[in-house]
Amino acid sequence: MTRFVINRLLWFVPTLLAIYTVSFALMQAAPGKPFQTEKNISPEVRKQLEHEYYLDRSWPAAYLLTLRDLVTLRGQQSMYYRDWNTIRDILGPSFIVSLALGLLALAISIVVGLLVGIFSALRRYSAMDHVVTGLTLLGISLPSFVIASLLLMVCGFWLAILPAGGWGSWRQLILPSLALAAFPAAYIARLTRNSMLDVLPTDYIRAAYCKGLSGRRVIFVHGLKNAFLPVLSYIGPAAAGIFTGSFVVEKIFSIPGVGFHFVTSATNRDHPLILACVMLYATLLLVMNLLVDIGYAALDPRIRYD
Amino acid sequence: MHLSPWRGLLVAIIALLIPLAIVLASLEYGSAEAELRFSQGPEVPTLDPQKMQDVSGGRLAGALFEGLLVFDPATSQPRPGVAERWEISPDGLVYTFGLRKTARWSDGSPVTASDFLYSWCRALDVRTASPYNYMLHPIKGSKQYAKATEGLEGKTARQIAERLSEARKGLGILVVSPTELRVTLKQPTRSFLDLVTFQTYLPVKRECVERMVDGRPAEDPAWTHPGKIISNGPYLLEVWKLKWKMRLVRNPFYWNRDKVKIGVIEVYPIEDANTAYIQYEQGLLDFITTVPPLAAEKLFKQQKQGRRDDFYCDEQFGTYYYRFNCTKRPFDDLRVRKALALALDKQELVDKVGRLNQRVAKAFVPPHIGWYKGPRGLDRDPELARRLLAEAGYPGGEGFPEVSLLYNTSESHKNMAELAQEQWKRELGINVKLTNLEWKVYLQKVTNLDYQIARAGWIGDYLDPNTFLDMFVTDGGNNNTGWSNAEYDRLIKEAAGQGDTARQAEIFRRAETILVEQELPILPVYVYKTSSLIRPWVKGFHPNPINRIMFNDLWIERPGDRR
Repeated sequence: MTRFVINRLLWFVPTLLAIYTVSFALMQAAPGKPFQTEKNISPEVRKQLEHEYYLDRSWPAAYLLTLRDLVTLRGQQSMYYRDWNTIRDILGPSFIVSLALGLLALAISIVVGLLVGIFSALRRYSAMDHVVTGLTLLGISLPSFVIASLLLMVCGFWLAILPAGGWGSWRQLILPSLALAAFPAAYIARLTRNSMLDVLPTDYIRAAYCKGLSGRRVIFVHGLKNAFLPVLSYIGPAAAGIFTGSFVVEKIFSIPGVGFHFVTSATNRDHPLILACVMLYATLLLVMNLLVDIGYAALDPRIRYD
Repeated sequence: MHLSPWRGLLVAIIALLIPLAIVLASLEYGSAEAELRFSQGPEVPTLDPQKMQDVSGGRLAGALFEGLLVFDPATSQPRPGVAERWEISPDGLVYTFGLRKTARWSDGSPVTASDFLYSWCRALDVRTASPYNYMLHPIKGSKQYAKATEGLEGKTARQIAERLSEARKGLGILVVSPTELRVTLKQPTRSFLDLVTFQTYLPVKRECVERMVDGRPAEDPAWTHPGKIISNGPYLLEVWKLKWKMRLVRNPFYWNRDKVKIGVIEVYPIEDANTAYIQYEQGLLDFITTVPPLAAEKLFKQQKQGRRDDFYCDEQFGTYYYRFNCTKRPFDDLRVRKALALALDKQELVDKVGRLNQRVAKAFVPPHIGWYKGPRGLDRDPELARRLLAEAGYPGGEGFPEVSLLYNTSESHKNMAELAQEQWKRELGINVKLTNLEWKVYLQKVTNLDYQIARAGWIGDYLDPNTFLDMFVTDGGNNNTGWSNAEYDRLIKEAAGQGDTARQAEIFRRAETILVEQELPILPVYVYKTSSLIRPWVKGFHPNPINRIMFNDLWIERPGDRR
């Protein structure tokens, strides 16, 4: 197991390097220049700005210099937010915010999804089950910005029971994490329902009932442990979806997170910030996938990585 | 690997505590109440007065710093700031400013004329990369000074200091004494006092901006952060969390602090105009300057019916217009440009798409300058348009090449373009395609003259026709139409040096007549309007065409307040 983990960690380096190279190349190729605004700036000013941001060097030099800034976490000043360092000032604080929001959404989606899935599997084909199936269908069909806007309008505007966006108090956490959790929760509910339905009629579950174990223990310990595997393999992509999809939710609820910077740095052609965001997300996803794989081995004794 | 139940429970608890800790760490605790909660849209890119380009930044800079003169929103005229008096020489070339002795920086030190010399040189310095450095070009020797700051890479600190002090000898900024600054201009400039109120002319303190790196002075890019920033304006920057909030508190060192009524202002950068509007209606914000278009329309009606008293929809010193690419067929032909201009039904555009009762623009310079009256412009005349088009060789639109109307992604630009497309088809029989591009790509196409018709907008920074008209001189950086007219260039140059107001207005009028009545490289459509929502108990707000807000002029008066 340890060998497996170390092996995977070592693979991080070439993977991230490849991602960095592709991103760097795409950025150079994209149309539209960084310091272009409606009121044109003088050529000397543009030259000065390009010099500060390595844009006047050769490609290999710019590639290596930017790589050095990222690896040493020194970062450059953002091209757009000129007073702020991309890594220390922009990504540091906003990553904590996005991580908090993302983890909360993930936790809600797992807990709610599991409970709802188990419940509807146990009460299969009842009225409750049909309602749940309908709701989960809605949850996976509606795009996150629709759900976010709906929540904002209903809870923020019409009913005015929760703050319409912003960040800082625990009440402001509720709506955005619900908006982000909606899709994964619905998907997990459906996954759980299906896998529970596969697991429940099996022999070992029947044996557990015969042994006299309580219903709760049978379902939540023995049944869920096996039914959880498909859900676990979904958590990796779910985390990816939550952390990258947070842009829309962050924009609508005005949350100072990374998702916003991830997208607007591209539209602003803010090269240092784009690269820093891309590398952050790439690392995050690699780590999440590794954790999922470790979780697999922990749950299923049949799985061996060596 | 097999997990025993207890180990499993432990892992689960840790797995839950870590996220919980992160969530708690990201929240905010115990922040005091703000008296005014304000939002003006997205986060500002910078608070450095010499580096900023946007109106939002300018408003905040105006709260943190104070220039020699300050723009008064009530009169749209400059009023005393750090300078308590000023004199202009009879030939209009020399301005002498007397600084007040009570002006202080927030570290207690006095604001002196040297601070202004340093800041203005910094604006001209190429190494600062100030997008508005041209604002200082009316000053004698400014361009030469800027040139002297080029190519200083690799020189020693002493060489740099020598080169710069040599260059300063020819520069028209003289520190006569700590409280007297004498500025010499290249030629009489009518609006120099207006320029002096602009954000690029704001003073910054050298000791705050510079620090020593390897034995030479270098700028600290983070000097504007709270805790480091030293300012001389009515407010101090107490908190600035990027994209989250900014907190301004009354500056105890400000010379006029007794007149600053509102003690704490919180500024929330909100990207989505709808969110800002909902927060205002919910009572979370007190003053917003970005109202979403659909809401604006509804509020406009309600305001007219007297059902609310907090909505302001005022004209801005800006024009929405279309550019023609005059270097290629068919718009290299004046008759074709005129035909499209005469056929466009601007009133319909404003009524159906603008919907805020905007004023149709027939001239380019908006009508907010007291001393300048522009040409009338051309009235709509579809008959004449059709005749001109036929004369140009496309009777009834036959044989007209395929042209495209370029606009940047936005719902309202799309609707405007679609209606214009329909009008031109209806009146002239020509087919205009629509091309929608993302902002940066759109800018690049326009700069490279890679378009036929392009949507554009221009907002003037200060109330002078020149900010609009000098765009279209031959090879002007913001021309982007390929249009060139020697007479126009000559008139613009002549107007710049004119000391006499009436004469200058006349010359500008002649130039603008060429632009909007005779040659038409551009097609003005309407005058911009801005909308704001501000609680009725916030007093002292004066909407003005260049959208400046002076926070120290505002005060709060709730019903029932004892006077």
